[in-house]
Amino acid sequence: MTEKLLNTLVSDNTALADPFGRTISYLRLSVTDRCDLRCAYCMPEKMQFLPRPEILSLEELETVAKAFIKLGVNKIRITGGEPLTRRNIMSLFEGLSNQLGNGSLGELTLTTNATLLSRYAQTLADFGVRRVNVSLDSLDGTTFARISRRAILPVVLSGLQAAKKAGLKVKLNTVALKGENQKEIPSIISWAHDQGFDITLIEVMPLGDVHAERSDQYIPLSDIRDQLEERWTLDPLSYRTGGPSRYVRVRETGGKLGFITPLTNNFCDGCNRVRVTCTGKLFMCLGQNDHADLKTALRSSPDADGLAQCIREAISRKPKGHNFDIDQRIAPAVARHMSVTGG
Amino acid sequence: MSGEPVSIKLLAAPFDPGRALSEFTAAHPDAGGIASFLGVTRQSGANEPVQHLILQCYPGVTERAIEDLCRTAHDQWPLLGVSVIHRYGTMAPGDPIVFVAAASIHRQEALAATEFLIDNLKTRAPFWKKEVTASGSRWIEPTLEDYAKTADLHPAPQGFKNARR
Amino acid sequence: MATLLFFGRLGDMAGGVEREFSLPEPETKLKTILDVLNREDLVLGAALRDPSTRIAVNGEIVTEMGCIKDCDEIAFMPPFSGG
Repeated sequence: MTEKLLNTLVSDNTALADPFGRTISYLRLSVTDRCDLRCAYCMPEKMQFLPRPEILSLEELETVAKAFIKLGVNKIRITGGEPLTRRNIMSLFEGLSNQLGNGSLGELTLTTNATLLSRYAQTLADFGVRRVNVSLDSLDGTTFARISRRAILPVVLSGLQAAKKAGLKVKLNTVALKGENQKEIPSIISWAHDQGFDITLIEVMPLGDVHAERSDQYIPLSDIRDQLEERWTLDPLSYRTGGPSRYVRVRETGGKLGFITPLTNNFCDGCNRVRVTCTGKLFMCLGQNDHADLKTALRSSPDADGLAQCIREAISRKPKGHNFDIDQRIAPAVARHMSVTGG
Repeated sequence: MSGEPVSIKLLAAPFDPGRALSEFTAAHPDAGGIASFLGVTRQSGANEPVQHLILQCYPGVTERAIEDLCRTAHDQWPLLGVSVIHRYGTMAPGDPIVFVAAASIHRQEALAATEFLIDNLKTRAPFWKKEVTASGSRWIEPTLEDYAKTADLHPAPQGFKNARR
Repeated sequence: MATLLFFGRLGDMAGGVEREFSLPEPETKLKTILDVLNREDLVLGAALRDPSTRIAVNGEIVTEMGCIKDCDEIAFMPPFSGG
């Protein structure tokens, strides 16, 4: 007897929930691996852009998004590479804006480097995008050019202004890079708050990461926080028991400041996040090594049910080492406990 | 403990109880009696309609607890096999939650084992239920009645169904 | 680091089902962990110490307060409501 035989009724409307009862409500969907910047810490060392057939088409991306919406996903973040570099990407936003309009999707957001926001900000706002995350590590032209290897800070700043003008709420994501922007961080924060942007500081992985450049640039955010506390009062927000608070409000500026460290994904905040790459690989954020191949399901089965089933199986997969799908004699095993996947 | 047939499934998506029963029956051609129980998501909660139910489990530990219960059933009654299918995740009103079945040569053991399993599943298997209604959600606590049925650890005598504890 | 799991209503009280806990010592007493949690949140602390809350370490229910090591998983389980 296998699970498949018994799952004859797979209801389209049953929301996804993992064994801990957390419903999947947030999908991060990458639409491209390409980017118009070349930040050393982000681009893999041997950057090879994928040939076109490997990448999902815009129609396929929309099908994937709609399948997740039907399974209960309420928020979609479009990511990349740099998503706005994908040709005709606005058509995906247009397609998803219909889902916003009919109420099945609650929020459509985007992470971008803002280089193309001047062109697209208004259209994005028209399609129902309300908030955008902008990756920006320096407000100094020379430093920006050194980090990203393109001297186009003014273009990014115009993009940010276009976002403001279109009424988009901007949050900056700034990676703390030793030897590059460490000294600049307080002024980036002041400027951001002055512009009405919240800002989150991101810590680079320490030594031990594959990319040597990253480890050279590692500064623990705790050091940065100490520096900031010398000049400002940081009031914790969303106080959580038993761990570091993630967000603070800077009393002197009134703006929000977040701290994200890769190792401190301590809290599962009741919202399960999943990530789909531009080649259709589905990763559960809480089980990074396990992934499902949605592309095959998309391209081999004509109906949406095949894709929905593939997603379900990926989300509900049993922990390794436990296979109770048996109807034969089994020895009473000393079962290993499940290994809890990290934040 | 010997390796008598035990089939346990934790499922994230709806299952067809009719199919489960017919497959269990087909797997035990020697049985004279097959008993089963089906637990279904209620339509209404304490005061208002239930929109959906969320059932949380502890992967690995939950299966093992169910397996222990099945082994205990095999120890207490001469059975040809037992099967437990239990949902987790999100369920709509009317969805099957749990299916329990037992097969034996004579009917008494299958009936007793089925009742034993479902009663003990309620209190000894790590599951937690949350009802979601229009006005919010609440975690369900087991009732005193649920506990009373399994408080006495002495099993019913072999072959006798429903000895009152 | 140990992993803490809070099931049922305990998850709501703890602000999430799952969290990492930094062990003060390589072998930390379970009681110490409960004390830390209690200091941070009295309501959660009381619920964890309630006799109806079962504690499991690495999937096995414990009745005594033993020692917790790196990579151990501690589950706090309120009364079950399955079936």
